[in-house]
Amino acid sequence: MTKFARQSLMTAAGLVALLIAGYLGVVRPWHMRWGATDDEVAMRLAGDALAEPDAVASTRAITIHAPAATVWAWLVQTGQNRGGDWYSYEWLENLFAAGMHPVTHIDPRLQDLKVGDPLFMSMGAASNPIMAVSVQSLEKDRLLVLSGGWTFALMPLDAATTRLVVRYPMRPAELIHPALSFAIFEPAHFVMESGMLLGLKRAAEADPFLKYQPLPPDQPQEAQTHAAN
Amino acid sequence: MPPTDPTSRPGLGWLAGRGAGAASLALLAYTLAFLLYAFTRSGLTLLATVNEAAGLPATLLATWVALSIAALTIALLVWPLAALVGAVTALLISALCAAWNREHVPGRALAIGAGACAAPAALIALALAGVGPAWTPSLAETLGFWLGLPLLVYIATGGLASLELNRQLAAARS
Repeated sequence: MTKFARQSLMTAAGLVALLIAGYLGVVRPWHMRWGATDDEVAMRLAGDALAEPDAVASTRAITIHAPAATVWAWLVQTGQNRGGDWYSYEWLENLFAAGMHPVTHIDPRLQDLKVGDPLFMSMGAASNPIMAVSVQSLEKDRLLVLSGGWTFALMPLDAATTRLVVRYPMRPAELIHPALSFAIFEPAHFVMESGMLLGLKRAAEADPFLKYQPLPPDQPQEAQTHAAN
Repeated sequence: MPPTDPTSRPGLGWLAGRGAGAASLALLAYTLAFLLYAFTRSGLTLLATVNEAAGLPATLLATWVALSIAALTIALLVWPLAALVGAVTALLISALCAAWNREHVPGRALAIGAGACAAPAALIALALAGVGPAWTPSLAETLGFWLGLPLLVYIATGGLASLELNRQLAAARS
């Protein structure tokens, strides 16, 4: 090995060691509670009871300048099989054959989310259930609990502002092996979940007081779809 | 070590090691190129909407570090396979050059290297066409990222590595 190659290898190893140390010491503790207050991290949420005992939970939160009903209307459309995506980085998800496409409007046909309904994380989830989660419990405009205790809690701060708190209990072997879960799933989940919260904020704030109004039931379903903007 | 005797050929171990090294560098380059792309696209999204409580600079940094950790781990997992493919390809290119490029013509070395890598790439493409997937923009994105672009990098690396091997052999001969 030449001196240059040896030096390059040492430099690369040093950079990787620095990256890992920075991630473990600073970035990970911070992203596990991205945007959340101490109270929100400590608070009991409805999905906690469904989490596996050895799960490591992240709690992330965002303030959305829109009423809870508006945030809810967007949230319940989540899923590749429903609105079309998870409001996150579609280009990144589609590198993994997720088949996501942007959700552009509130669709009244998707507002009736029920316990047991599946939400696909990927287009292949129909034949591969591991790529889907299902609704465990819900309370309109307030709470959505998905498989494994993944919880979305909407807390109105006032008539026009909502706090969205999301808790995800990650199982140690979420991705085959704990080491892979830690090094791949957990950082990727932060990227995707923070992207989702920002996507929901963007969607809800674009039309905070929804031009969409459900039409009377005797109207044709198609006529009820309105663009958000 | 590269051969210093003009009549000798490089040892198999040396060739395989160089091939594995070239493939490792290509994998690293591809990973870094992906990260640059991911940093740019995620950065543009994060600039558009800010979580006030978390702050933009910290969110940008955390997103980029998290993307790096995940992508570099995946690259690390793929590394042994890439190194093996690189080693085998180097041996193949060396044998082809020994048979068809005894005069050490650079252009021919480049063509042999790129061609040796393009052949399996073409076979994979044919096999894929045989399977006949229902093409969608999403599938094209997925296959482009995991197969199309890596194969292009493989072909380019094969051509350049063959050119470099040819240069070293020609220098040893002269």
